[in-house]
Amino acid sequence: MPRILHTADWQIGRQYSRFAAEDAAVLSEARFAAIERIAELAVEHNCDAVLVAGDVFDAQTVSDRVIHRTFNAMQGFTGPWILLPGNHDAALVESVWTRARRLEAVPGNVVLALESGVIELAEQGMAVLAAPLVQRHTYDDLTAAFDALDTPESLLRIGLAHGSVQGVLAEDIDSANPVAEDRVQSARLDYLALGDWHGSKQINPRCWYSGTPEPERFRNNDAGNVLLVEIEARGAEPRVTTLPTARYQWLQWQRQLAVASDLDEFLRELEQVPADSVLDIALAGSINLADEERLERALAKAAGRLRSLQCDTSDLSIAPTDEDIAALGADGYLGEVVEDLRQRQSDDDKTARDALLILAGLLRDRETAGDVRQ
Amino acid sequence: MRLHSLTVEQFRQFREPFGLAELTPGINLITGPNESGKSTLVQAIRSAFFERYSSSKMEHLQPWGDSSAAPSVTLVFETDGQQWQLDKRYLKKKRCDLLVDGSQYSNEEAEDKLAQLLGFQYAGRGASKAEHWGIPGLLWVEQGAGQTIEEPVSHAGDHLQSALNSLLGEVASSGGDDVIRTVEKQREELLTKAGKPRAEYEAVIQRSADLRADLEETEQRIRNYQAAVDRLAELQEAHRAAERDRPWEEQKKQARAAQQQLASIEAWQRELDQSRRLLEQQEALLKGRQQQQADDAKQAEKLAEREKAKQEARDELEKLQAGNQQLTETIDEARATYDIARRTLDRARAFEHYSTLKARHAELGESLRAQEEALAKANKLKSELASARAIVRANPIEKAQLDAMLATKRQLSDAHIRLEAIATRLHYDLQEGATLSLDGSPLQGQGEALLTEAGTIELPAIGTLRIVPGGTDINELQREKENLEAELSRQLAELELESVEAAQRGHAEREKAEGDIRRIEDQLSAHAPKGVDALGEAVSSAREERDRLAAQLQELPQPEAVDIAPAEAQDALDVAQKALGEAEQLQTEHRVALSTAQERHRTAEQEWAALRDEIQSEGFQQRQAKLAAEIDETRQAVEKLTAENAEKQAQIDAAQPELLQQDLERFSRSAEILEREHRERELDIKGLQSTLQSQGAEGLEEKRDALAAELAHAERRCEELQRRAEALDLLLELLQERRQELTRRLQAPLQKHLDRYLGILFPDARLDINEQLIPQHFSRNGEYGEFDDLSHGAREQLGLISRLAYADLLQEAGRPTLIILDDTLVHSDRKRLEPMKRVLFDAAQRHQILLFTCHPESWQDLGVEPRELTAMKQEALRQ
Repeated sequence: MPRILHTADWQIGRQYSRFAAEDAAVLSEARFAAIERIAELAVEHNCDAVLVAGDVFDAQTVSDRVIHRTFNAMQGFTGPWILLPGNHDAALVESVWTRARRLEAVPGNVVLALESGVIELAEQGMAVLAAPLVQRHTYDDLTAAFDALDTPESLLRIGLAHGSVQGVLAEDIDSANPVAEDRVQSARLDYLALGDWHGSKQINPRCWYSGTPEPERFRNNDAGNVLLVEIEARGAEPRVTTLPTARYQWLQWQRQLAVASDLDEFLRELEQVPADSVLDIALAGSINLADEERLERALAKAAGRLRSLQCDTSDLSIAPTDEDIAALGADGYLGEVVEDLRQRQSDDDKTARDALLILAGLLRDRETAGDVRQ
Repeated sequence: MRLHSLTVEQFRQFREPFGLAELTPGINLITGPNESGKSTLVQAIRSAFFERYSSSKMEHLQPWGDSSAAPSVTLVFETDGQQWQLDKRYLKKKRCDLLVDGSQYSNEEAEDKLAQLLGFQYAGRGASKAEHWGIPGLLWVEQGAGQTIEEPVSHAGDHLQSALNSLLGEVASSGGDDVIRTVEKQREELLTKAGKPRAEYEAVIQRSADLRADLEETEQRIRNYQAAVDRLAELQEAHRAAERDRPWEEQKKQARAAQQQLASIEAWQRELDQSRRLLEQQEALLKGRQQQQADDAKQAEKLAEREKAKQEARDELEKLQAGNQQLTETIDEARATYDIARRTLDRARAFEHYSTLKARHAELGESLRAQEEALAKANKLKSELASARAIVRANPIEKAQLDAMLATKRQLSDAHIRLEAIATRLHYDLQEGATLSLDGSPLQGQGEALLTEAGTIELPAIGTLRIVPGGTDINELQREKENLEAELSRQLAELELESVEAAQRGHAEREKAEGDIRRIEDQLSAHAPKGVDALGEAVSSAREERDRLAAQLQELPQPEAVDIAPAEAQDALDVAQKALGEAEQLQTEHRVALSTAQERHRTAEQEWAALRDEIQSEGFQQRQAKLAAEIDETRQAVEKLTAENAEKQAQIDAAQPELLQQDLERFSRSAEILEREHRERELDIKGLQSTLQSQGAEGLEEKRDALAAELAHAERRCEELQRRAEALDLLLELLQERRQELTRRLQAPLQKHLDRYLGILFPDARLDINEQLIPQHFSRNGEYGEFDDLSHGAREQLGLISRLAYADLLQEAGRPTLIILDDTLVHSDRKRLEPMKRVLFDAAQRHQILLFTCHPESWQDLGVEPRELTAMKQEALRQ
């Protein structure tokens, strides 16, 4: 019974501009680790082949080192890997693939499906029908060629393609690189392994998107898996198992703070986030100075714990209470300025909010310094 | 605050302890001349408060030259109902002790307490400077510093504010100013005063721009790279198609076809060219023969011409020959005229020569006669001269010699007379016959003998008498006489003369002869100025000349007389000669012309004859007939060839060789281009491949992503900083606004005090204070100006008034006030000093004032007893 590990969209070489350099480097690194995990899983599940449905590389002109590292990371599994060029790494006349070959980086067990056609893996009992992208974007269905490709009767017909199944993914209507929804039937495929959609997704029992093995965006779409596909025999319905591979969870929160307990709830939630998370928070509402200080401390603590934390508080206004002002020792005209800034802030003046926080910070420092003196 | 006493020891000029005790509330007037120690006491108070006891820079407080001194100050004062005593000692055994109502503080603790009380700071290190002095810096006015107010007020600012805040209660802020300063500082880290980004903010903006540019460049390179990849794909496709179709082959085929067609046309063309050359030859031949025919026809015309030329030559010759006769006559005539003129000239010259000789001869005879006469006279004079010279030679007595001789003779006669006068006279009177001899000379008869020397008288038979004249004179006289006689004899002997009379005679003769000589010589020179011999020679040579002329005349024939002068004859000859020359020239020219004409005539005749013979010959006729036949034949050949060539040309033109040539070129070039394109495309592909390979290795997109990340970071930082800058700007603006509002509220009480004093000094003036509580605008009688623009004196007065107003305000806020004025108001005139005294007296109702001055007379109406320092010092010494 042939077993295939279906994966796609490795996006090797992806860089993350929104994060601090240190975090971005770790996240880029995680993509190489994902390949190693895939190799381990292929061994663990005794797979016959690993099919990679496009976008192995995030760009054509990645550095030589990135190319070498990618193929090195595949060492763990010595069976055949079939790599398909996608839209990010299309098989152009000069491409990351031609470079990889020039660099002699491609191991013998790795097959580069640079041309449309059949790759027979007789030993593994399957024939892979590959539809590589040879242009960055194409508006023809490259899998159409599968219909006319003949393969030996004894071998499974496995399609390998990169694109958008038409009429299924709403946002992909009229998109480039289309794939006909009934390709499995028309091309008599036992399984069609697809790439391009970053979450794991079943189109029909014989057609799946594996999604990217390591998430790289906040879209909550079940990313971070590979698919173990087991097919009893020609014509049998495949058994598809989702195997998680993600190292980092990407989380995106939007929270409204109105009453004091909202903050308590938020902070509790924050504490429960696993350390291997990339968290993006947007806070809105209003908060008093004391709570603002509590929030800052909690965020600072979480930032130290989590892989990455970003928090946008620009929509969170500051509402100092009388206790706040008393605690800051904002006597005389300082108190008047605090009040003035509070008022301006309610007119959605972000500068006033920042100014209020600066002033609060200065006064707090003074108080602390005063305490130390005493 | 009230200062009770001040004591110093080993402090500059106060080596011994010196105290200023029993200071009163109100004004204390301390006077003394310069150097009496007033400023030293002020300095003692200042250093007691401002300088750390531990400071090592206090050597200047030691008495001069005493480096072991320990300057010390003791102050006793009262404030807020408490008694304070401060003891401070510097350098040696340095200490600071403070006793406040029985509580003891020492050193730094004591100093900090003082600073807090009065409101000043200590210098971090080194000596205290104006910026540390705080409120005392404002109220304690140093010598000559009364006119500046802005600086001391700003140095006192914080202390002044905090002191005054208590007046206003909760509206003031305990740390507002600190916060403002911090905000200002933080704002300055991001923005310049003008609000331009600076430091990190500026750098990050620049960095963002740089990164954006880098990113744009990298993206452009990626676009180029991708375009190159696309181009490579196109090229490879085209290359494959070209390899398959080989489109240049068809073009080459076409070119070959055109080439072949062109080759046949070229053969036709060669034939045509050859035929054309043949035609040219025939045409040339025809032309030559026709020319020959024409030449023959011209011979008859030429013969006529030659005949005419012959006739003309003959006419010319005859005409010349006719002219010859007349020319010969003319020349003979000219020659005859010339010969006559020649002879006339010769005759005129001969006659002139003869006449000249003859006249000369006559003239010479005349002068010779005169010369001969003169010569005869001269010879006679010459012999007379010789005899006169003989007389002179015979009497060689010069006038001087004669005179000397006569003088000698006179002296001798004198000597003789004197000798006779003194000589021994010997009178004798002998008897007849009796003879005696004196010195051998017989004496007889009577007589007298003068004895000038010893004489012996022989007395016959008796013996001898020897008489010796007495005396010495006689001997001397005798000798003189002898000498003169000898001299005279010598003079005469020299001239070989007998006597003086002879000499006189001779001399007279000589003089006469000399006169004769002069006369004769005069006459002689008249007759013969160059001497007789020269005259003689002249006579003989004149005689010879005359003889020669006579001989010449003798020889010459007697010429006939001529009435024309030789010059005239010469002129006539010249004219004749010229006429003859011209005639001869004409003759020569005529001869040449004649022979030329003869030659021409001969040649013309020969040429005519030759041509006539040739034309009349038989060969000439035959040749002409043959030539006409040949011309006919050649003309036919030419016509035939011309027709043939036109036909051939038409054939060539019909084939359109230019178009064929163009076709050939077009097809060949197309083939070439297609092949070259193919080759170049292959090269391009290789080039592109290698370029792309090297560019691919650069990891452009990876680089782009890294740049984008960096840019995003920079932009985020930029945004953060911008927000922070805006927030700080807003915060600062609000804080300053509120702070100014507060200040304005503080201004009112200060203004009140200021107005009170100002009313005393300038009843109708106004001094406004600004937000920093510094006097700024001054107006009086409608005039308006800045404080700093006032005169030195006015600023000093207004400065003092302001200080007193601050003191009032501070006192109201419960702060201690002590006013020290060191020689203040020295720039104020009497008119201003008066109201200022009222001001001071008024202030003294509320504050203790120490007024130090070296002008006691200016302050005697202050209502206080002055304390004279010099006297106090002496008093202290006595104790």
